[in-house]
Amino acid sequence: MTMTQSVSRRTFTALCTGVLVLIFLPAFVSPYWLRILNFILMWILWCTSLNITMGMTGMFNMGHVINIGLGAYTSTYLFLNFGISPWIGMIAGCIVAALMAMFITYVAFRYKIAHLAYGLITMGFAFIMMYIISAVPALGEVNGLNIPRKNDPFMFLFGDGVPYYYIILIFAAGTVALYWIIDKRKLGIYFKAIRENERAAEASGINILKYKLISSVVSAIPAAIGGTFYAQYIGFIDPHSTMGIMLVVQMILFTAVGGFGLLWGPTVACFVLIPLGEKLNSILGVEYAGAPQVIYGVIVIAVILVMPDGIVGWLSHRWSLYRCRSVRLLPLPEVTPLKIDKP
Amino acid sequence: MLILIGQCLIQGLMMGSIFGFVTIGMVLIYRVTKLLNFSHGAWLMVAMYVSYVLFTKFRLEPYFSVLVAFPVLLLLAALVYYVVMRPLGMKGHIIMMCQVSLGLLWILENSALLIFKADYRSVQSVLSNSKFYVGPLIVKTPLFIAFLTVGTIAIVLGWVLYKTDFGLSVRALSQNEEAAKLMGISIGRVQLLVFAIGIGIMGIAGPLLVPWIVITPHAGAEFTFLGFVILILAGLGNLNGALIGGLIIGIAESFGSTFMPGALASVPSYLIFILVLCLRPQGLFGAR
Repeated sequence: MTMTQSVSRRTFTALCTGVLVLIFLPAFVSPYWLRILNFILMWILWCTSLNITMGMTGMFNMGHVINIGLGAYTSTYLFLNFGISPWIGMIAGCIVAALMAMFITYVAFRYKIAHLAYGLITMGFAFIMMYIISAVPALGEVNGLNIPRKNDPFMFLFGDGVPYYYIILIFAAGTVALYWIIDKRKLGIYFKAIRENERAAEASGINILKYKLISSVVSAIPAAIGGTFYAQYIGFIDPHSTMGIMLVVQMILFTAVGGFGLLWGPTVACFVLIPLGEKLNSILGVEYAGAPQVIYGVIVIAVILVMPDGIVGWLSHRWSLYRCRSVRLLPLPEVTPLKIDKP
Repeated sequence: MLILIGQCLIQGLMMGSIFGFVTIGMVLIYRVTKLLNFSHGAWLMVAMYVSYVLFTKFRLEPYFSVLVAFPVLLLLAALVYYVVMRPLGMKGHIIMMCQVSLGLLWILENSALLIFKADYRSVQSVLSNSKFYVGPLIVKTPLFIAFLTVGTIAIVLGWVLYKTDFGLSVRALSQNEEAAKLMGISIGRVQLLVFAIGIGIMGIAGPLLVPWIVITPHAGAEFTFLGFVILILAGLGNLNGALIGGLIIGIAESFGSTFMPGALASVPSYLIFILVLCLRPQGLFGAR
C-alpha cells in the first residue's frame, strides 16, 4: 500500500489547509494565545507519543512521564554543567529515555507482568525516578533547575515565542506523522495484534518482546524531545512538573477524550480541552481556585461516558453511518475497546 | 540504636495496618468490579474533611464523626457507582473505568481545593498528643486506637466474606463472573454493595487518621499510590496478602523516614516493590 492510495483527495485538502493555517497563525494571534498554542502543540506531542504505547500497542503505560523528565533533565544538566547545546542534549535525552523505556519494558516482560499490573509498575518506576531526582543535588533536588533566559538560537533559547512555535509545530507534526506511518505499516498491524490478543499474536509468530520494545522506544523518543522543549521554553524544571504522576494522569485523560488508538484523537482533544481549560481558568481561576479543574473533570468524565471511543471515534462512526448510503466506504480506524486478560 | 529500631517497628506496624486497611477496600473493588480505583485515597481525604468540618462547626470529637463520615461515603459511592461505573462496566470498558476513576481523583482533589483552599489543616483531638510507654518504647495513643479499630473491622470483614451468604456471592463473583451469574447471583447488587463498602470503609479510616495527620487536598494521594504498591506486593486481589503487604510497606516507610534523607523516605518501599516483582512477579501471596 503506497501512501498516496491511502489518503483520499478530500483528506489531503483538509490536511494541507490545516498545515497552512497553522503556519500562518502566529501572525494573527496575540502573545497570550501564542503561548497557549505552544502548550497545545506540546501536549499533542506528548499525548500522541503516549498513544503509540497505550493506544496502539495496548500497554497501560503510566510511566510516560519518565521519558519527559529524562529528556528535560538530561539536556538541561548537560547545558548547565558542560555548556553543551540543548540541541545535542536533546539527542542525548532521547537516548537516555529510550534506554530507560527499554529497561522497564524488558523487566515487565521478563517477569510476565499482567496488563493492569504493568500500569502500576511503570507508575512505581516514575515515583522512584522522581524521588531520586529530588535527592540529587546536581539536579537541583526539589527546588528544580533554572535555565538563563537569553536569545541564542544555537542554545535553543529565543527571546520570542514565535521560533518556539515553529519548532514545536515541526516536532508535533512529526510525531503525528510518525503515528500515521506506523499505523499504515506492518508494524502498526503487529502492535494492534498485540493489543487485541497477546497470546494469539504470539501464536501467529509475532515476537512480542521485540515489538513491545520497539513500541516503547518509538514512544519514548518524541516524549523526550517534548521534555527538552518544555525545559527550554519554560526555563524552569522541577521533579513535580516534569515527572509528577498528575502529568501522566492528565495525558491519559486527554487521550481518552480524543480517542485511544486513533490518529487524530490526541490532537483534537488538545485543541478542544486546553483552550477550554485556559478560558475557565481566566474566568474562575482567580477567585475560585480549583473550580475550573472540577468543571474540566466533569466534562472529561461526561465525554468518556457518552462517547466511549472518544470524540474522534464518535465522529468517525457518525461519519461512516452518514456515508454508508451513497459512497464506497474508506477503511475506518479500528475502534474496538482495549481488552484485558482476566487475572 | 536498638530502641530506635524497635520504635520504627512499632510505628511501622501501626501505620502499616492502616495502609493495609485502605488497600482492602481497593482489593475488594478490584476483585468484584475489575476496577483499579485511582480515586481511593481521594475518598479518604473526603472523609478527613468531613471529620474536620464536624470538628470546627460542632466541636465533635473526630472519633465520633465516623458515624457521619461512614454513611456519607457509602451514599456518595453508591451514587458514583450508579452514575458512572455501572454504565461503563456494562459495556466492558475496563480501561475506560480506570480513566474515569482518574477523572474522579481529579474532581475530588480539586473540589477540596475549591472549598477548603490549599491550606494545611489539622484537628486537635483530646488524644492527639497523648502517648503511653511499653517498656522503653513510646506508643502514640491515637495510632494505637486506629490500629485496634482497623484490626477489628478487618476481622469483621473477613467474617462477612467467609461466613455469610453475601460473602459467598462476593467470592463467587470475584472468581468467575459468568458462573456466578448462572448461579443466580445478582451481579449489579453485589457490585454496588462492594463498591459502596470498599469506599465506605474509608469513612472509618479517615476520622481515625485525623487526630495526627495534616489535612490537605492531596493528603489521600500517598495512600492511593502506596495502596497500589501493596496491591502488587500482595498479588492482585489477595485480601490477607493486602494486610500483610500493608504491614511490610508500613515498616519500610517508617524505616525510610528515619534512616534516609528526607526526599528519599519512600524509596525503600518502592525498592521492595520492584524486588518482589522481579523475584516473585505474582506477588508474595498471589496464585497465578
